[in-house]
This record gives sequence, C-alpha cells and structure tokens, in this order.
Amino acid sequence: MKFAAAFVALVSGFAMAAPIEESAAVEKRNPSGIDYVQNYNGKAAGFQSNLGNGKFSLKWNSGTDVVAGLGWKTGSPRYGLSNPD
Amino acid sequence: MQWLTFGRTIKYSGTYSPGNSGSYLAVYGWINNPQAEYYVVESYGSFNPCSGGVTKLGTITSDGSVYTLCTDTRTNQPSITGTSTFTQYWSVRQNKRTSGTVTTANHFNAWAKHGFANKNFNYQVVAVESFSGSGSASITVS
Repeated sequence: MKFAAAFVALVSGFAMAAPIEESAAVEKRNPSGIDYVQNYNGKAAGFQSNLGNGKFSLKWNSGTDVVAGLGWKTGSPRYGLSNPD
Repeated sequence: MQWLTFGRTIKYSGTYSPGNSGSYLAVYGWINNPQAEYYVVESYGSFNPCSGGVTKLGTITSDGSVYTLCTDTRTNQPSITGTSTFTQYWSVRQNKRTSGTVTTANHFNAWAKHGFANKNFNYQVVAVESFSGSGSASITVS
C-alpha cells in the first residue's frame, strides 16, 4: 500500500526532487543511464572503461586493493514521500 | 510522511575469473549519512565476506537465489570522505553468477532493518574489487 501511494505521488509530480530530472537527462546519453566511473587504484589492474557502452575490464595480480566499475552518481533513481499510514 | 526509496534494478553480464584470488563482483555503493558502504556480491574468489568475524543478519531470496546478509564496522579505513569509521552492509549470493539482474531495493530494505539509512545515497556501481592473487574480469552494465 505504501508503494502504491508513493507511485501516485510521483506520477502526479508531488514531492519530486532534482535527482529525478537529472536521471531523465542522463538516460538520453546511453541506454542504461550510467554516468559514473568508479576507479579506486584501477591503474594497478589495468582498468579500462567506456561509459558509452557500459563496458569495463581489469586484470589484477599486484595485491593492491582495487575497486573499479561503472554505474550511477546516486544509488536511488527515484524517491518521494508517502502519506502516513 | 515517510521517506521511501525506489532502488534501481541493475542488469549486468560478462566474464569474471577470480580464480583463488581475493576478489568480489558486486553492486557496490555508499550512503552519505550515517556513512555506510554496501555490497551485493554476485560472485567472489577465495573469500566469502560473510564468512569471517562479522555480524550475520540472516538471509533473503532475490533474483533467483538466496543471499546471506551480514554487517560489520570499519574503523579508520579509506572511504568516500578520506579516512573514516563507517558500517559495511553485505549481501552474498549463494548461487554465484556473472550475469543477471539485481533488484537493489530487496537488499536495501533488508539492511534497513539493521540500521541502513536507505537514503542519502552516494554513487552506485557494478564493480570488481580485488585485493590479493590474480584474475581478470570484463563486464557490461546495461
């Protein structure tokens, strides 16, 4: 029920926030809307990435802690406020 | 009013060859406040991050597999704010895979019962982490 209430709120434009518009704009640039490259020590694993097609690769053998990949600037594409139960 | 989050549904595919190295293939991200780092681990090498001295949070079933949940605190470790103390939340897929769909809301909602803010989101990526041994990965986020 909470989900349904919030969905109506979003469709009607109630309580919409800036990230919603930002996400819509990004979707035009590539199919998945990805807009963020994560590259922590990627150089140590030959990290390569392409935001345009969503592909990335790495190869590790140095023991350096590497965290690398592709995704989004925010972890929630939509959010809003529901009516209290 | 209650704050609700609509977690993203993420599709990915590719090759992941961790061998016996220390490595994860995961949906990975951060919460700003209270600061938290999270992983939905889809596959891993030699080390299951929920197998060590961490706090177990039970299991959930999502996207065709059981996931084991756990949490721990990292003290004065590298973070998105430099060096800080923060909470880690983990979901580790029992049926490892290298392609599929991750319904992030299922994990967020399960962690939220144990202190995960489920708002104040920073970045979120499909990532490979490696910290020992040798291996390789080639992944497409779609």
